[in-house]
Amino acid sequence: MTPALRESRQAVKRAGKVTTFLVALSAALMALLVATFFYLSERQKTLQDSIREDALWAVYQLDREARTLAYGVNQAESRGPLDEAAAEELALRYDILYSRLSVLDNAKYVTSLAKSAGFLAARATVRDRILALEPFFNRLASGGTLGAEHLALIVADLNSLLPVTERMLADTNTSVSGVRADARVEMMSIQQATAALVLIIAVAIGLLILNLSRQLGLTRRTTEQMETAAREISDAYRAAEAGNRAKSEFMAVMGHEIRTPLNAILGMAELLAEADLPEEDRHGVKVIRSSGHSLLEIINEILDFAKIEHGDLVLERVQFNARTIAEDTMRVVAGRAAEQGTILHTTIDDTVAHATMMSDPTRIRRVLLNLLSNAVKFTKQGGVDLRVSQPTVGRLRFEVADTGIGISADALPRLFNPFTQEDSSISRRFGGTGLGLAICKKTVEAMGGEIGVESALGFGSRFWFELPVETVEASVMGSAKAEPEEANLPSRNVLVVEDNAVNREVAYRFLEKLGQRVTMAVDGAEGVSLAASGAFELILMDMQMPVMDGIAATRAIRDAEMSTGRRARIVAMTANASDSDRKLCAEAGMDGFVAKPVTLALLAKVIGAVPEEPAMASGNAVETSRLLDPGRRVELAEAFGEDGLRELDDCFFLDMAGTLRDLHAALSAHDLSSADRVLHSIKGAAANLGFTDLAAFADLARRDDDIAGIETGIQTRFAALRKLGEQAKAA
Amino acid sequence: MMRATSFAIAASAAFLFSYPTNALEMPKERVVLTVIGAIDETNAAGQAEFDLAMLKELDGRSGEMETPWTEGTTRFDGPLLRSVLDAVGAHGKTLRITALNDYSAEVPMADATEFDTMLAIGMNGEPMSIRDKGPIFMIYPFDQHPELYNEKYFSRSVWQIKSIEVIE
Repeated sequence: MTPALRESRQAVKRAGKVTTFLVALSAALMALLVATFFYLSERQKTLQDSIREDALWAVYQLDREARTLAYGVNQAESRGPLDEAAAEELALRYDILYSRLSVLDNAKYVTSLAKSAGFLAARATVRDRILALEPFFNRLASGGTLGAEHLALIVADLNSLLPVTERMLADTNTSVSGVRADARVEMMSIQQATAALVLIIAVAIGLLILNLSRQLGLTRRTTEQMETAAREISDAYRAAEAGNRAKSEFMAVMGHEIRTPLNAILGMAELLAEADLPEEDRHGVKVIRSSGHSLLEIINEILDFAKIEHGDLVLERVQFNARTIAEDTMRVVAGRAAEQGTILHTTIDDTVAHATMMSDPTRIRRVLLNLLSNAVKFTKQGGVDLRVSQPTVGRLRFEVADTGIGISADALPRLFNPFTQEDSSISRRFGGTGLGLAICKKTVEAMGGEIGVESALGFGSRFWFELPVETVEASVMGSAKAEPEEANLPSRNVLVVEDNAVNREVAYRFLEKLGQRVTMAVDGAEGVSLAASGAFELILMDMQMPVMDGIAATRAIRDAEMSTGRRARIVAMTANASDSDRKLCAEAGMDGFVAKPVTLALLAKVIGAVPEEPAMASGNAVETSRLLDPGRRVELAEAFGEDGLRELDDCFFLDMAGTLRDLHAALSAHDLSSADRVLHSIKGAAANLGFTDLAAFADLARRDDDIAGIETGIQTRFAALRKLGEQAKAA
Repeated sequence: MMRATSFAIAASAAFLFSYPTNALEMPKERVVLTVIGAIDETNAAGQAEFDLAMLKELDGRSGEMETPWTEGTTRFDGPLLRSVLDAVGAHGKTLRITALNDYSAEVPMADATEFDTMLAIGMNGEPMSIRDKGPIFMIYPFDQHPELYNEKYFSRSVWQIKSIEVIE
C-alpha cells in the first residue's frame, strides 16, 4: 500500500468517526426534541384539563346577579307593596343568583384560585349571605308576599354581600392574570428552549452534511488511489509474468545449450567405449557415460516439468498398440535389470494385445518407462512385473509391480509431489530429481487418467495408471521393422548437416563405424548445395543451425529433387521434438526423427530404415525384367537404334521432371482429376517405352486413394529407371 | 287552466293531510321556551311556545358525560335542538339563545344539524330547577365528540334558557 493510499484510508476512517459522532449527537438532540415535544403535549394536556368555565366570568356573573337582585329588591321596596308579577320576578332573580352559587362551589377552578384562603373565605361569606335570604324568596315562590321590613332586611343583607363579591371579582382577576402570565412565561421559556434545540440540531445536521460531503470526497480520492494501486499491481504482475516467461525461455535455451555439449560428451564416450582401451580407462568411460545419461535425464525431467507446469503440454491422438509400447519399454530397462539380477516379466491381456487404440503413445511410453525404471532402480535380485489390461471398455491399465525396497506409509501420500523422494538419502543412493513421478502424475491427469501406488516398506511396490482410450478399427500400421544388425547394414551415402563441430565429429565417427560413406555440411545452405548432386540416400539434418535451419534446408532439398526425380530420406536430429515441431518437420518433407543424443544403435536403426533401392549395379536380370518389358525394348531398339532409344529415354526423363511437379501439385491440392490426367499420361509414355512397372503402377495409382504412396511409388520407380539408364550408358 | 286546478287540489290535499302532524300544539302548562324569528310554525303571535310536556314529546336523546359545571359524570336528557327547530319550521343560519338573566350566545345552525346537541330538560333523571341551571340547558354531545370540550362550546352551552331566536 502506498503512503498516500494509507493516509487517505486513515482520513476516510477519521471522517467516518466524525460522522458517527455527529449522527449520535443529532440522534441525541432529536431525542431531546421529542422529549420536549412530549413535555409540551403533556403540559397541553394539563391545560386542556383545566379547560373550564372561566372563573373570572363565573365570579363576575355572581357579582352581577347579586347586583341585579339588589336593584330589583330596592325597586320593589320603593314601589310599596309587592304585586304578584314583581314577586315572581324577584323569586326568579334569587333562583338565578342561587344557581351561580353552585358554580362557585365547583372545584374545577384554576388551582391557585381554589387554594387561595381569601377566595375560600369570601365564598363562604357569599354562601352564608345568599342562603340567609332563602326563606324570604321561598315564601315568594310559594305564592306568599314580603313586607317592607323584610325587603329592608334583604337590602341590608345584599348590601353587605356586594362588597364581598366585588372584592372576589378583583381577587379572581388578579389570580387569573397571574396564572395566565405564569403560563405565558413558561410557554415562552419552553419555546425558547425548543428553538435553541432546533438551532443546535440544525447546526449538527449542517456539520453532518459537511462531513459527509468531505467523506464522499475522501472516499472518491481513496477509490482513485486504489484503482491506481490496482493498476500498479497488475503492471507488476505483468512484469513478473514477463519475467517468468523470460525464465522459461532461458531454461529452454539453457537446456538446449547444456544438451548440445552433453551430447558430444556422450557420443565421444560411446566411441571411446567401443575403442580398445585398458580396463581402468574402460571403467572411467563407463562412469562418464552413465553420469552423462543421468545428467541428461535430469535436465529432460526439469525441462519437462517446467513445460507441464507452464501448461504447455499438448496431447496427441494417434493410433498405437499397447503391446508394442510395453515391449519397447521393457526392452529399454532390460539391460539395467539384467545388470542387477532382476527378472522382468510382462503380462498383456488378449483384449489389449491385438487392439489398436487412440491416445498419446509417446506420453504413455514416457510414464511407463518412468515407472519401470524406478521399479528396476529400486529392485536388486528380484522381479519386476508389468501387466497391461483393460479393466473396463475404454480404459487401459498398466501395473508395474516390483519386489524392491518398497515405500513407507508416511511417504506414500507425498510420493507424487514434485521434488519429493521417499527419503532424501534415496536420491543420494539412486540418483534422480524426484520429479519423475510428479511428471507422471501431471501427464496422466492431463490425459484424463489416474495414477496410484500401493506399497509396503520391504515388500516392494505396485504402481499403476489407468487412462481413457478409444479402441479403433486397426488401420494399416507400419509394422516395426526388425532392428537391423550393425554388422550387415548396407553402405549408404549419408550427408550429415550439423553446425556443432563436436556433434558433427560424433556423427561422423558413428557413421563411419557403421560402414557408411559420410559427407559433412556445416549448415543448411551447404547441405542444400551438397544434396543437389542427388548423391545421398540419407540426410541427417540438425534442426537449429545458423544461415539456414533444418526446416528451410529440407524444403529447399525437396524442391530441388522435383527436377532430379531422386528422393533422399531426410531424418531430423533434434533434442526435443515437440508435437508442433514434428508436424512442421513432416510438412517440410522430412521422413523421420532421431532423438539427440544420437547413439550407435539409433543411427543403425535410421540407416536400416532407408528403403532398399533396386540394386542396379548388380545387374540383376530379374529386377531388370520386372522394371522393363525386354521384348518391347528390343523392338524399340530395332526400330530407332540404340542411340535413338537412348534419346527417347532422355526425352522421357526430361519430361518426367515436369510431369512429377504437376503430379505433386495436383496431389497436394487434392485435385484428383488433374492427378488422374497426369497419371494417365505417365502410364501412356511409360508403356510406350516398355517401362512396364512404372506403367502398371501409374495405372494402379489412378484407382488408388493413398495419395502419399502414389508420389513416393512413382518417384522410386522413376529413380530406379533413371539409374538403370545411367548404368546402361556407362556400360 | 287545467294545470292551475290540479296544482290547487294537490296543494289543498297536502295541507289537509300534513296539518295534524305539523301543527304546533298549544302549551297546556307553564311556557318554558319561546322560539321566535325565522320560523314557519307558531302557536302564539309570531312565536312558538313550548311547555315541558311538549319538549318531552319531541325526538330527543340521553347521554352521560362530564361537563365543567357538574361534579362527576352526569346524565342529561331532553329533545334535540334539531327537533325543536324542525317542529317550528326554522329556516335560518344562526340562533340567538337567551337565558333567564338575559345572557345570550350566538350559535350557528350547524351546531344543531351536525351534532346531536340537546336542550336538556332533565339531569340524572330529575327535572332541572332554575337553581340547578334549569329548566333548559343546552348540552353539546361531549360524550360523542370529545373535541367539542373547549371554551368555544362552553360559551355556547347556555343554561336557564328562556328563548331562541332564529336569524336568517
